[in-house]
Amino acid sequence: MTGGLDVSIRPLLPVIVLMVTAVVVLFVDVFGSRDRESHYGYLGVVGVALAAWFTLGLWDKSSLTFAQTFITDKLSVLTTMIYLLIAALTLLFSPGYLHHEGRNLGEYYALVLFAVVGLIFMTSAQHLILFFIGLEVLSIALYALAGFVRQRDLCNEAALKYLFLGGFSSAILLMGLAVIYSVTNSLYLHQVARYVVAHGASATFILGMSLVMVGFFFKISAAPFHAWAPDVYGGAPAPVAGFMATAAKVAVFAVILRFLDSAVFSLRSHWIAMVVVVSVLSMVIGNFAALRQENIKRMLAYSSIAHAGYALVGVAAASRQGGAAVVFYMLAYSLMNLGAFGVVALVGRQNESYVNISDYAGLAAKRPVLAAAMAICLFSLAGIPGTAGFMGKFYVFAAGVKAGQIPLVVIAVLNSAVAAYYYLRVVYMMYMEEPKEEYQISFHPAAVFALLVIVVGIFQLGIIPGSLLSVSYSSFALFTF
Amino acid sequence: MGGLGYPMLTVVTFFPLVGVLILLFVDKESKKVLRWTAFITTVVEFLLSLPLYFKFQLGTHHFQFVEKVPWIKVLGSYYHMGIDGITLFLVLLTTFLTMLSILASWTIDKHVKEYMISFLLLETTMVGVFCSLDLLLFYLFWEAMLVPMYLLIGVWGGPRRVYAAIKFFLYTMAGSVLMLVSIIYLYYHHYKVAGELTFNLASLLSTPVAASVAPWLFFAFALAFAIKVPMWPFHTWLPDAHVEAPTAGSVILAGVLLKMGTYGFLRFCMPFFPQATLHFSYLFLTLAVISIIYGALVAMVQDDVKKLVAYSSVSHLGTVMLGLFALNLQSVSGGVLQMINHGLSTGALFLLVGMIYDRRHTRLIKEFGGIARVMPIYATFFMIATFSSIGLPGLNGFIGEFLSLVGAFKTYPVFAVLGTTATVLSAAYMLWMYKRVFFHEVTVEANKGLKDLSFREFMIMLLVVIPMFWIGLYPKPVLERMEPSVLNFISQVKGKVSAQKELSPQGREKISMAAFIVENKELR
Amino acid sequence: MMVLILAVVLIPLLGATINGLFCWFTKRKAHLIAVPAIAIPAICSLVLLGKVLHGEHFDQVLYWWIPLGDLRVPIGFLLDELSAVMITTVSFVATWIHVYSIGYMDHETPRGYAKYFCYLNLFVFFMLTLCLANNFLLMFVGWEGVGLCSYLLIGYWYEKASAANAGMKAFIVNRIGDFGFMVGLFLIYKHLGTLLFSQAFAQAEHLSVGMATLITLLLFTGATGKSAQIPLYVWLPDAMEGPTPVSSLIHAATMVTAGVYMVARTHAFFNMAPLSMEVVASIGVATALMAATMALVNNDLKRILAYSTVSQLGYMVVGVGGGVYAAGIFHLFTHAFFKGLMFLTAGSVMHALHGELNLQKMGGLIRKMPITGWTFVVGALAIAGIPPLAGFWSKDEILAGAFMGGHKIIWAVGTFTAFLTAFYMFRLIFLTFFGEPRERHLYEHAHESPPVMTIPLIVLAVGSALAGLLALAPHGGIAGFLNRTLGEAHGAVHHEGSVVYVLMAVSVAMGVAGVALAYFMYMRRVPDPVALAANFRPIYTLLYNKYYVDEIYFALIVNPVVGGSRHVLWKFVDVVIIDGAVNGTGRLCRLVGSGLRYLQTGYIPDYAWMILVGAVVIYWIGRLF
Repeated sequence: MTGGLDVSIRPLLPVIVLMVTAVVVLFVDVFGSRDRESHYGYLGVVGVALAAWFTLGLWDKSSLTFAQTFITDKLSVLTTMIYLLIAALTLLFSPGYLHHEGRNLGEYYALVLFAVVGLIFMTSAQHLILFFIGLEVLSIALYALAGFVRQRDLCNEAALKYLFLGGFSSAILLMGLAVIYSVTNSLYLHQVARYVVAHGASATFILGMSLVMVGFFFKISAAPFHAWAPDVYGGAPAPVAGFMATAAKVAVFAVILRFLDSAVFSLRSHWIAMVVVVSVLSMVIGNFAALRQENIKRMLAYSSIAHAGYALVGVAAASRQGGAAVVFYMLAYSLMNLGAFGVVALVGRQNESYVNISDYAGLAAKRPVLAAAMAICLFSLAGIPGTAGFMGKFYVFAAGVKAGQIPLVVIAVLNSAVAAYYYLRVVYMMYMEEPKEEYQISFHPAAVFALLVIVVGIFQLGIIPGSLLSVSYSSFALFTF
Repeated sequence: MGGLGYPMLTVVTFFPLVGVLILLFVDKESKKVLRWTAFITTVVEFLLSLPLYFKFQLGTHHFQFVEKVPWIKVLGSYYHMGIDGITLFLVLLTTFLTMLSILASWTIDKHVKEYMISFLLLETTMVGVFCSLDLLLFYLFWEAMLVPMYLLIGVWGGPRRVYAAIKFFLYTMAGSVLMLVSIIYLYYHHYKVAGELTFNLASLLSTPVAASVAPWLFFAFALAFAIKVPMWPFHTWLPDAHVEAPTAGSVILAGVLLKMGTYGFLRFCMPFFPQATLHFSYLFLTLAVISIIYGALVAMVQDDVKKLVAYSSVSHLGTVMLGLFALNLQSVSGGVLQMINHGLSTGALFLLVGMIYDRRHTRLIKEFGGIARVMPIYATFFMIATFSSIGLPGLNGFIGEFLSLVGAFKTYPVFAVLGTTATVLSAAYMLWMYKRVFFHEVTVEANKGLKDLSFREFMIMLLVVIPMFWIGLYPKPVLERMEPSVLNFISQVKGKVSAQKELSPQGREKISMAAFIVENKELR
Repeated sequence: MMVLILAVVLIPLLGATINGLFCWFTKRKAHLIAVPAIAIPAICSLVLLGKVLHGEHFDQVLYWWIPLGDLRVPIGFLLDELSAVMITTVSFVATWIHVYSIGYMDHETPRGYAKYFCYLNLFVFFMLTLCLANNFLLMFVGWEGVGLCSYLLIGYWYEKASAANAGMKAFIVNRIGDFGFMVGLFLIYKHLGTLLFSQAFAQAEHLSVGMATLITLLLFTGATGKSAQIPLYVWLPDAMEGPTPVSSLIHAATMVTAGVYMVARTHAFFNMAPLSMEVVASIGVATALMAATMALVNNDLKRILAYSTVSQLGYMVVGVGGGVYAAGIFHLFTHAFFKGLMFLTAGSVMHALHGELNLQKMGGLIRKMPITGWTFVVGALAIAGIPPLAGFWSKDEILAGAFMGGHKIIWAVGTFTAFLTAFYMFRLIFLTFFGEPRERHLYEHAHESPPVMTIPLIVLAVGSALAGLLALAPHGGIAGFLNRTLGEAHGAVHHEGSVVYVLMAVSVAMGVAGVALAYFMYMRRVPDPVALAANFRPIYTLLYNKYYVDEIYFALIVNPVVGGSRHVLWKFVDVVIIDGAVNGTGRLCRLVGSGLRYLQTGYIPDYAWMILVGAVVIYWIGRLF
């Protein structure tokens, strides 16, 4: 880490590429002809691919640039790759959906790309203000996306709730940062760390830390800060919901890990307690509430709350392996969750009028492929061996056990047994009920391709996860964990 | 690797997937093709599993046909397969019963394609469970198995199939997840002690667990397996699952899946925690005896033939558990043999029940009566299966039952005597049922015109009856392959010393000279 | 010798297999396979008997059946005086009953006919296995096998509810006995480490008296089942539902004697356990008396014979229990002839009267069917113990043995029972064959049976008449021959001349008295039986209803078990408690779920408050740790 004002542009290339693509999309939207609308998606994907290519180039070139605020390390690279994957999949799912809704506009794709930019800044931030800026970039994009189908009330409600509560939580987070700054006179993670090591934990600092953590917990929709999630995911357009439920979580988890590791590792006794409590609450509330959901989007929302809880087990392990486990888990989770929301988007059809679990009756008979894809995603979410979901859970729980968090892990596994029930309910609807009426689901080729990618990914991570496990493990090489 | 030149176990485990691949490309409407493809796959699969028997080396408890390649390096997990004298027969039983089950599924007419696919997937996972020597691999197969079975029960089952399927899935899963935790614990415990990350069964066995935590881990394992067995009072998923499952599903459920519970005790639970096993053996012996008597009594008063057979399974598996926990050569061998026997006899019974169900679409005992007059061949096979399950000497059931009980008697006379009541009770419930179904006048009009077994059904029953007589009359080939593994198991639990006692029995020298001569003559 | 033995055992099995698998082809010709399949073994067993007479013995292992550690059970055969006598008796009687069946079963459906002979052969196979086994487990195979065949043959006319029930009852009751038998085997294996006869008996004296008593009592439990002793005799009367030749072969001549054979075979143990001997003898004599009394008032031809069988088995048990094993086996041997004979004659009567069994509807039949009638009389005289017929010799030896063994009471009861036996047998004869026919049309249609049935009758009649004379054969007669293996418990009983003759005289007198009383009551009507029954109504009803034993068993055992299982174990414990708990857990989870929905009000302020409260909690926790 060389000090001074190093402004090498290299680490920013992915970001730049993404922004350029976004702008291009906007221009095409303005000047291009309307009938090519579905090409925005592909344009976006190209940009993402390009960005990915640049990102890969940064794998083992860790650097600390822009007055040491912008860190590029294996973690940031790996997570960036995950964002790009998520973005690409979202871009592929969206055209068909938006076409239905008659809202297939360039802004949408541009916003997704901007959101990714925000994500990248968050995870690469070595300075908490930079992180906060990234977070806001993301949030603003998401507010807009959540309400994108504006003719739908639910959609607007979702956007509004997200805006208000998001703002509220950002305020709390910002206040936490302020408190920390007031104590440590710095928002550089390593300087905060140095201070904490030197002076230990004062009540004020704990306050700041707690507030920051609350902000984080809100963003990963962990209980008891989850209340917005069901309403927002339930209301937002399915592809957006999928994007929110995955991208934001991945990023914030990465940030949490970075923060806890680089800044306040010495205070782990304090934050582990917080994390454990929140983790238990999220798992229990998420799973049990999901049992009684009729709307599949809300059900998935609760399941994502529970999954945040599982992932927090890895955080509570406070170990290098725990971190690696969380990242791997996040990747697995993103795949299966995007898949599920993708199918929801397809089955939902015009104006999302078919989002109840009962609407999936007999899907297997009519649309075997679609049903199979959904079933695989659900089984993966339920953590059945052979799928990404199992490997993720396994790795996280393993970390937990290793760190001696055995009661927590026991609660977690029992929860995953409970969870199986509501995932199975959908499977049972699709396979064991007779179809109510004829399905007229139009397959958008892009969406099908995305689903294919996801299914392959799920099995790849589930059966031969070795390489990715080691990658995520190595991405914590520089950590004190 | 051993045996023939190719990785035999991998082939045996994953060959059904080849069938799945083919099936994927068959049109879902051409049901004949689908059925035959699946059936031929399972036949080939069975033929592929036979060499395991012939190439199996006697006199060693070491795992054979071992394959070991790295699977997940980071976790130190290997793709590690191998079988010993115990799993050999469980694998054969699996491939054999699956073959018959497919043949018995000819009458399935709804979603044939999906049905056959899930069945073949099931077969792979089942064989995998018995062959894995790596705990992670084992757990993968163990849990994955739930999915196809869930679908089989839930899609092709009876009226209350959904309830039964979900109950089966959740109950078994709830049991297994705790086992996962204790697997992970063992994994890191071994890491702390030996400094290597591995899921290898042998290595994990080599590092004993502190007596303070052992009971917890022991019960975590025991719960998972006790539910699968199922031991009283964890048995209530079984009647539901059996009654609702399609015929073939019940056959596999009773024939193979239940064995995984007892197998789990034998291979993992008891060897991992010897002290805990010995310490809690009375608890498990009691549960076993309760299962035996309770299962039999409840079976006796069932109105549904299938449910009756289901409860009889609880009773029979109780005998197996009794044998396992009595921990001596005879009892354990008897227990293992009883696993096979139960697979055959109960499998046969379920097949037969299915055949009559296909004709009458009811299984209520009071709906029948006098069937022996209209379906003599069917009645004959049913009689054989009945007596095999009752444990009539000369049929397989007797050998297993007698061995496990006589062995159990050596160590725990009281439990053994209580367990022996099963011989009376089983006769009572089976023969009473047989009488009501097959004897008396034909009263119900619908039964008058019943057709006797078709050629396909006849072949199924013939195939399943042959091994009953074989094991009943000449169990030596099975026993001699089993003995070393069983002794090894006992030594793992009770320590080398007592195993030596098993090896040099006071009875040996008692055998008259003449007998020795004969024996040697016959060995050559 | 092995070849011969294998021939004896396997040829019947072969016959059974052929008739079993190909009953569609053999059909009416089934007997052409079945009869030779038993006749050949009969000849072979005679040859074997001859060899044994010359002192040859045989104990060979065919192959190791269950070789497992120190438990090594072979398929192996043991031929000594005892088994030689057994197989000869079994195969000889069985042969003639097979022949008889050709005539008796002629009106069966072709396949039923084949099935019948298949079962019959199978039975013989198992019976011979039982007798020839050289270890307990193989003996148990035969033991259960004959039980199976008896089950199948009792239920041969399974469409009759009574037949179906009787078959099931027989098997289950026997299983109760076998429970004891099995536990006995466990004990033997545990304490002697072997199940081979040769080894087990060789070291019997190593057993403590207590252990020996326990083992023998358990084994005897098995015997009470098979040989229909108190308390497990209840299945035998019902077993009469089967075809009459079956009753003759299985439920009179051979299978039911298996228990006696087993006790004799294991005499080495019994000699160790005087207490068990007492128990066995007492149960035997009690059974003899009880069964005889039940036979007094019954009107069913076959059931009377059944009770008489139970009673005679009681005698055999008294014999083996009294330590005079040879006498017991000797009675078994003679009984096989005369009781087999009497059942066949009964069958011939039924054949003539289209299945009529009620004595009160018969009478005077001897004029219509002389051979049947007179052969029956021979049998009856034999069982009544009238010298020089078979029954006299064997029964006398048993009673004498009991008397000498110091069981005076047993002797007294046994002798009294002899009187009853003579009485009910001749009551039967007078009511059936003599006097005036009470049912005209039945009488009119009555006819003598075809030779294929009468010839066996004659043969067996001759047997019943002469078999007893073997007692006078050189070297202590058949008893001496058997004693080569059996020996006698607590020292040989020396028949001091005078006492023996007195005893003989008494038992003969009893027999004659019984016959006489029957004659006066049923021919001369003094005293008039009807009036007698009226005067002693309570006793009469009690006997007529077989002491209500079946009813008591049902009330005390069967109904409670079944009812308890259904209403308590299944409907309550299983469904309500256990499954209730399982489903309850699920329901609870869903309840919690619906409870949590109330957190989801949808109002932003509520959510904000939640966040705030949460924040406070988090901070508090942070401070706490």
